[in-house]
Amino acid sequence: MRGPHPAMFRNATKAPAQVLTVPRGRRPVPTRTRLRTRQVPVVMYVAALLLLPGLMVVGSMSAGWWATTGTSTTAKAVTPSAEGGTGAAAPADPADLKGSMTVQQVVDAFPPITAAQITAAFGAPLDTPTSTRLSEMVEGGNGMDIPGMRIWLAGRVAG
Amino acid sequence: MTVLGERTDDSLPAAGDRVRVSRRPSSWGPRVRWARHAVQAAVVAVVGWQAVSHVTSGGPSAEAWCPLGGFETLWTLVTTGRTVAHVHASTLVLAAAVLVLALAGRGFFCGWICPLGTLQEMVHAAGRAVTDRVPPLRRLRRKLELSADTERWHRVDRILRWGRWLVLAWAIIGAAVTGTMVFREADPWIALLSVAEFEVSLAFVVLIATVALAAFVERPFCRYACPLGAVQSLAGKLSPIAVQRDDSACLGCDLCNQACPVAIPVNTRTRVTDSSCIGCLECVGACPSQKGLSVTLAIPTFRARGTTTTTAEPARQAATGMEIPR
Repeated sequence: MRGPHPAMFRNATKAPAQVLTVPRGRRPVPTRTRLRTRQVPVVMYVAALLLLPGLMVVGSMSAGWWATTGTSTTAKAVTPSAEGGTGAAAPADPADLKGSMTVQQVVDAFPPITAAQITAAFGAPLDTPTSTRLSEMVEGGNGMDIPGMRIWLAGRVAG
Repeated sequence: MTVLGERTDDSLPAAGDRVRVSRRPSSWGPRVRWARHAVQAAVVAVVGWQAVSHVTSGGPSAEAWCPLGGFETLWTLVTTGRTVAHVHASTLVLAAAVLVLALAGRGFFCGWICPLGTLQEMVHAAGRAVTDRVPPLRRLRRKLELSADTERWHRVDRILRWGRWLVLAWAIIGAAVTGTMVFREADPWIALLSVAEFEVSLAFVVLIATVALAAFVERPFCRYACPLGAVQSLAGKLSPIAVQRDDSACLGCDLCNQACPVAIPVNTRTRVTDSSCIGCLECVGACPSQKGLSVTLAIPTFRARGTTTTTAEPARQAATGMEIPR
């Protein structure tokens, strides 16, 4: 059963008197708690709960725990090498390709692929350093993006 | 019968009685609602900007902003020291933040921050606005509301709510067994953030189904399928903070029940500790009585059994035919 129309109370709250009427057919259900409770101001409650996660994120950033890339099992399976690249990698899935990976990391993770092929795919100059991130090449590239690169890479690896 | 004067714990009004209770200022409810919508809009703006920057300049992907991944990877992290694919350090931090938030404020994340919940709310509000303005739709809705078998609907609703726990078990166990985020394939959050890279997938179908259902049911994904909501429900059980109803200032008017987006019968609760509560404070905002509903902190000491029993309680039980929850 639906209750009274909210407008009834909207009008009531605009009236100056502090008298509210229990609607017909309604009565409050009596309940009790055995807990000792203290009222918390709503503003303080909301502000504290909004600050809490914000402080945790800022704290983790300042502690160096915040990273939005690169802690997948694939990334952990490879070891760092010179020029920001990685050593021999476990078989990698092109779907795990990320914009944060460098050209060298892609070359290391997908053996048949060369740095020249990658730079050509992005339309970047051939002398582009292998420490360049794919996301940087997307920004200044020929329209090739990361999802497109994944498809391109899957085709090359399979071929 | 007319009763004027301050109410005491031992007096309960009958239907039609006039009772003197402090009234909230008329702007109170809208202010709480607007504050929540402002926070939701800010979060949607930040997430939208991230999604666009991911597509346009290869910025962090959707997974980097998904707290659920932190819970999915927990088993793998503890047993192998690694995370499953698509989980980043930011995911773990966000998972910890959501956990702490749930321990402090139950479902506050769902009600104030979660962009998927915001989307569902927007769609539901739009659905209601359309049916309110189009007479044939309005008549159809009224007809359906009048003819609906409420009891059967509540039973179905209660059963469907178990879905959250099943999805959570699937996500956690699946990730532990396979080492990948199995829920990712059906996660509407991922589909939403990757909407610019349009791809028809199971996640996209779930997103469309969620949006379509949200036009008729408030927050369907939150109620029936959200695994992150289930995690928060578990953690929220330990929270000392909850909305509390003071029966001596309650009018039994039902406005809180109608305002609740997850259909909790607030006016039958002492403290709203339901696992489906999303902490949106809509009930508090809707309450016309100053002290009817408030946010309270429970101090972890129990009163001695029996000290709250008043002489009026047996009479109340007899009058209302309802058992007094402890």
